[in-house]
Amino acid sequence: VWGIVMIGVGFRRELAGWLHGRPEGVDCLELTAEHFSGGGDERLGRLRERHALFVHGLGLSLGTPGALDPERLKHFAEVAEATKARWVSEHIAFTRTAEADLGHLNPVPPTRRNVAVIADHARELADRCRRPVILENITSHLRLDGELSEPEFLNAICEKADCGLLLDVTNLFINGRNHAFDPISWLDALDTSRVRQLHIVGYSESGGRYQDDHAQAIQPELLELAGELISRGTVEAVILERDEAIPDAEAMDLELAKLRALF
Amino acid sequence: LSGVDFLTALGRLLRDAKLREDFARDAALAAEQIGVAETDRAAFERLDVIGLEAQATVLMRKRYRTAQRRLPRTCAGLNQRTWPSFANYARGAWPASEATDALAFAEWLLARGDAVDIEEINRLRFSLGTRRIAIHLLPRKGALPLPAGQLFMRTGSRILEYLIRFGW
Repeated sequence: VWGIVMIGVGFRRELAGWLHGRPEGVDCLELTAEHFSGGGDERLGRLRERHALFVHGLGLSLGTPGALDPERLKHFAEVAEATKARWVSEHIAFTRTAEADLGHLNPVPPTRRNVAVIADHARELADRCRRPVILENITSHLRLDGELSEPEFLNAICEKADCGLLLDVTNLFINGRNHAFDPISWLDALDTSRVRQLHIVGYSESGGRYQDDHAQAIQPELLELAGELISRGTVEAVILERDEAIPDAEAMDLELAKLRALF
Repeated sequence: LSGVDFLTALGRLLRDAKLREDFARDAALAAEQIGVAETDRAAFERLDVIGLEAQATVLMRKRYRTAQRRLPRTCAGLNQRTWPSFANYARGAWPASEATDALAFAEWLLARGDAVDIEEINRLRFSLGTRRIAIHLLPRKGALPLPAGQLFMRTGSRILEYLIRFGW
């Protein structure tokens, strides 16, 4: 039913040693465009020889009205080309305003106007990279009003941009807890046929607030939610996003084994 | 559109703690002060104060982690005071890059009389400047009999750094 679903990790320099010993155990890697110096970065060729690659962006700020930053877009497209990425991804978010770079992902109001802004930018990204684009849901402590619910917003963007979704399971779970909604009902309102890739990593909790700190082992409730998405049948890749407190090789292997057990 | 658009106004709130305090007291007045566009004003005034503060903290925490990576010894020296110190510094400061943020934090600590690792400050200052070469005399450390030298050289986009110990 699933075809070949790839299991992999977000590439971080600290994981290079662990990865080197597992050319067969990690099907794919997701490279963050901003972590590489450009298309000529010699690491890209080495990684491409060993793994299927995807390129992920953090700073294109698709939600900011106006033109995309030409330098960032050029850099992103060069990395995508050098890796022969299967697809590229960015967030449904803004990181920059007309005045400042905020350095992190922030939510955009779910309005028709923003559907057009993000969809146009996603199409531009796909054209420049000459590859399919998938867009990711973010986590945010701030919930913004708009004409649409969040699933309606995502559906409308994907339809207008003719693109797929990168569903971050952890972000969905955290938002569900922090904003008191049921993730399964949220998924029922989403066009899950658009979901091609998942992100997952453990969450943390402090003082009743859930956080996406990319520093914890995957909890069972996240695996359950990932399993629900996978059962809907369109996921092609699952990426473990471990950025902080990176554990030893045995623990990393165990994290991937949890994900393989979902299929 | 005449006036400041919604995202720009939200961005100002997220990076300025004083402005968030004003907003929490009187959202309409804050919208007036910022000059939020009429079309976006209602949505802006409805922003959730608690969520706004939590989101601003996420942004500040991210800056903090970056500063820690660039100032590891300085932060280790501050120990438990690192985050409160950074949060205090960052309330109204929003430098344009990660390196300028880390340097501004280190200089803010220095101005307050906190112990700052001089090698880390030298490194940041050189990386942000345009000089091709610089040498600094470092104060004596621990049991070392003589001061050390810290040499930086810029070759294209690369920066080379050497630490020169005298005396053996």
